[in-house]
Amino acid sequence: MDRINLKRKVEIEKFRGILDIGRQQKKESYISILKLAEENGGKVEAKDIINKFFKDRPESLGERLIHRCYLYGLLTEDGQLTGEGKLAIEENKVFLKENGAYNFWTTKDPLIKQILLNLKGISVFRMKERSKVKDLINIPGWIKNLENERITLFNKKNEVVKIYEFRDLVQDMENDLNIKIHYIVSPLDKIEEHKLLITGDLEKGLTELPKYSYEDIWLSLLGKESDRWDKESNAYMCNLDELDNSSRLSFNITKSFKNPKILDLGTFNNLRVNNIPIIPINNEEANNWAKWILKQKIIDYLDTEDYSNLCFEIIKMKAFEKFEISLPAQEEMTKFFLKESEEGDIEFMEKYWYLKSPLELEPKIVNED
Amino acid sequence: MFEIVKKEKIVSFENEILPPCWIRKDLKQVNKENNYFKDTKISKNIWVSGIDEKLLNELKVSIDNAKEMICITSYIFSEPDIKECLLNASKRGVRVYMLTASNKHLKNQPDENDDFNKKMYIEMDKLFKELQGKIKIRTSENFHTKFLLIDPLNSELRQGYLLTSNFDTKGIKGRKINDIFRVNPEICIKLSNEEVIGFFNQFCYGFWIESTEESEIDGFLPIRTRLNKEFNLKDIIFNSKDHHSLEKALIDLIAKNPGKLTICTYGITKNNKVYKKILSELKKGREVVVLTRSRNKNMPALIDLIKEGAVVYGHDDIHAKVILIESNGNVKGIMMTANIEEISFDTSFESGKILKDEEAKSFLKILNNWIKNFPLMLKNSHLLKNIEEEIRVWNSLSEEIDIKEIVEEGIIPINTNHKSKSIENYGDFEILEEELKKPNERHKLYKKIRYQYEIKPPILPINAKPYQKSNKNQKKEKKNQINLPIYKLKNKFYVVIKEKSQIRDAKILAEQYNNAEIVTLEKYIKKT
Repeated sequence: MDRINLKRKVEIEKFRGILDIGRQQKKESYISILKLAEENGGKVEAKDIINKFFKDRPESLGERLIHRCYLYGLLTEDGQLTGEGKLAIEENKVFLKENGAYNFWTTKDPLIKQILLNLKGISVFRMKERSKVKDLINIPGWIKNLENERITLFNKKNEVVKIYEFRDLVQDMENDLNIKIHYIVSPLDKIEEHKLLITGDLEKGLTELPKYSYEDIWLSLLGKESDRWDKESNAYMCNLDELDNSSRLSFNITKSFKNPKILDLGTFNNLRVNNIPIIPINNEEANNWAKWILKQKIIDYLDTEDYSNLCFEIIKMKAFEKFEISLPAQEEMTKFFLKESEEGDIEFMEKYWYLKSPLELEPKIVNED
Repeated sequence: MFEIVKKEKIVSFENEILPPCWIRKDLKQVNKENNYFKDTKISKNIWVSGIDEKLLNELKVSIDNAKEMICITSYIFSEPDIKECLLNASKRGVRVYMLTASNKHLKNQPDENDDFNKKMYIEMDKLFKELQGKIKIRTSENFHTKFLLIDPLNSELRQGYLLTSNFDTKGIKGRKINDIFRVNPEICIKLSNEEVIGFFNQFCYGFWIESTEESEIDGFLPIRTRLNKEFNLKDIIFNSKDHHSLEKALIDLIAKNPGKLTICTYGITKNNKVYKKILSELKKGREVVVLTRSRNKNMPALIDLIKEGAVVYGHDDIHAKVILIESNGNVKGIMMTANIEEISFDTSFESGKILKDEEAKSFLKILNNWIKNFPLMLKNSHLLKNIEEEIRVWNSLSEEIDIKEIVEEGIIPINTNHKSKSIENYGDFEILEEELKKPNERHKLYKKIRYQYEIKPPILPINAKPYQKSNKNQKKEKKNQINLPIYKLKNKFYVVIKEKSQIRDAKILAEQYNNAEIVTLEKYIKKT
C-alpha cells in the first residue's frame, strides 16, 4: 500500500506591530562574563571582571558590563547567573534585544505547532509600502502568549528569536505568504518514517509530528467505509462486481478521497491512495473471484497437470488465503466456456479448445479401452 | 520463254525410333465411355471415387453420425458437402479437429493476373472464415496425409477412413470436363477399430508436434506452446519430420514378398530408397507395373524403369498411392498417402496402412481395372509408324513433356530457288535428300513429308554488266548470223537467251567467250 500524502494550503494571518525582540547572536564578551560567573559559583562582581579581563581599569567598567547583562536577562542586577544566562553559555549565543516595527506571520494550523512562522523588521519609512494595511486591532491573546518563548523562525536562516513584548495594538495585514503543509504517512507505520513538510515561500521539515499511526490516518480517511478494512489481512474487502479487470487480477485498487477530514488534523486537499490491497468480502465472492481469474489465465492449451497447477496457484493467492476456494474441474470448465461461446461470446471458444483439446487429443494405447 | 518446273520429293520417317513417350492406348475410349467401375463400392470397406458418389455419401453419413469427436486431415480441404457436414457436427456439439496444409494458399496474395491462384485464394479465405471458431484447425505445409476419424475415443462408435484423395470434390467424386465425366482414380478404405487408434495417435502427434499454425478468431497464428505428451507411435506406419516407418515398411514389403509389383502413385522420383529398391528388383528380373501420371517430374524415374522392362500406364488424374505384390494368387500391399518421392519419406506428414489379404485382393482388382482403362502407356524405343494419335514425348533437353500431334503426311514447300547449272536440261535437276531438313515442330510429328520445290533455268546474276564485243567478234557473229547479248561479271562471261531455240547459237558464242555460261532473265520465265 502506498503512503498517504495529505496536503493543504496553510491558513496564515499576517500582522504588523511594534515588538521588543531578541535575536540570538554570538557575543563572546558576554559569554566570557557569564562563564566567569559560572566559575565563581553562579555569581560575578565588577572586580572579578576587572581582575580577569581589564586589569588596571576602574571597577565601574565591570559594573556597566554587569548592568548590560542584566538588561539582556543574563544576570540579575547583583550579578547572579540567570536561567537565560546558563542557556546562553550552553548555546554560546545570547539574545540581543532590539525593538521596532515588524511584520509577522502566524498560523493556527493544527499540524504546525509553532504559531509564529516568520517575522521581518521593517523600516518606519517604508511602512506604507507593499502589503495593504487593515485596521488596528488589539493583539490577539494567542499571539500575546508567545512572549518570552524561544522561537525558531521558518526563514532560510532558521533564525532563533525571543519576543519580549508585543505592543497592545497591531495592524491586521493581508497575507502575502503562500505555504503548504504536507503530512506524509508511511505504511511502514514507523513514526520516524512519517514526514511533515512545509513547502512554498517557506520550506521546512517539521520534527514535531502528530502521534497517529498509519492505520489511524487510513481508517479516518476511509470514514464510513472503515468497516470494510480487514485489519487481519490489511486489505480492503470488495465485491467482484465493484472491480475492474485490472484490480481483479492485481488485487489492488486506488481510492480517491474528496477533501478528507482526518481526525483532529483538519481538512485536506483531494487525494488518491494507490495500491490498496483488496480481498473478497466473503467466501462466495472469493470463489467467484477465483473462477474469474481462472478464466482469465486460460490463454493457451493446458493439459490436466497444467490445469491443476493453475488452479492450485490461484487458490494459494494471498487474497484467498482465508477463504475456502473450490475451482471447477477442467471438463466442467470446458462446458462453461462452450456455453458462454454459444451465448455469443466467441472469445470463449478459443478457451474452450485450450482446455478440451488436451483432454481429448491424448495418445492412446491399443486395447486400452 | 522458259517455264518453271515443279517437283516434289516424299521422305518417310516412319521407321524412326521415338524418344520415351506416352502413347494413347485407345483414343476412342478416352473421354467417352469407359469400363471403370460402375459401382464404386468395391467391397464392404473399400471405395473408389466416382460419379455415383458412394464414397462421398459414406463419408457424409459417418460425419453426420458422429457423437463426440471428428479428426480430419487433408493436404487440401475444400469439399463443400463435407464442410457442411463438419459444420453441422460442430453445431451438434461434436468437436471437430482438422489438420491441413490448405491455408498455404492464403500465405501470399496472388498476382492480379494469376486467375487460378486468385480463385483459390478467394475460395480458401471464404472457407476458413466459415470454419474459424467452429472447427479447431492446425496447419503445416507438410500435412499431406488424408484420413477421417469419427469418435476415435469411443470403442463402440469409432470409425475411420484412410483416403488417397484429398477432401476436395475432384478427388472424392471426380469431375466433368466438357460435360464428360472424368474418373479421378482415388481409393478409400475403412479402418478397423484398432487401426483407428493408431491413426488417432498419429493425428495427436500431428496436432501437438508437427503443426506450425492454428486457426484462432483472428486468423492463423503460430503455435505458441507445445504440450509435453507421450506418443505411442511404434505400431504406426507413418512419416513425419522425425519418424520414417512408412519408408521402412514399404522396403520390407518389397524385400520380403516375392512376386509381381504393381505400383500406383501420383509422383515418382529417383532420389529415395523405395524407388531404388523397386529399380533394383526390376534389374533382378522382377515384373513391375506402374500406374502413374505423365508429369515432367516423374519422367527421369519412369524412363529408367521402362528401360529395365517395367510396364508403365498413365492417367492424367491418377493420385492414388498403393504398392501391391502378387504371387500365386496371394496379394500383399500397403496403401498410403505418400508419393514415391524424397520429400514424402523425408519431411512430409504421411500415413500408410498394411492391407489385409482380402483388402489387398480388392485393391488388385481396382488396379487391374485401372490398367485396362488408363489411356496412356509409357513407351521406350517406339517406332513412329506404330503411332496413330497424339503422343507425349519426353524432351530431355527442356525436361518437359511435349504433346505432339501425329501427322501422316506433311507438305513442306521449299522456297529456295533451285537452279540447274545447265539451261539445256534444267528440268532434270533433283534436290539432294540430305538437303531436306526435317521440321522440328514442338507439337507435331510427321510420319511422311512431301517436300515441294520449283526448278528454274540459270539466271543472269544481277550485277553482271553488258559486254562490249570487239569488232572482230562482231564481224564473226554477223557472219554466223548470231546476235545474242554477252554479259560479264568479274572474269566470267554470260550468254543471255530468251528461249530454248537459242541454245544452239548460244553454245557457239559460249565457246568464243571462254566457255561462257548460258543463262536467261527472270522476265523470260513464264509466271505460273
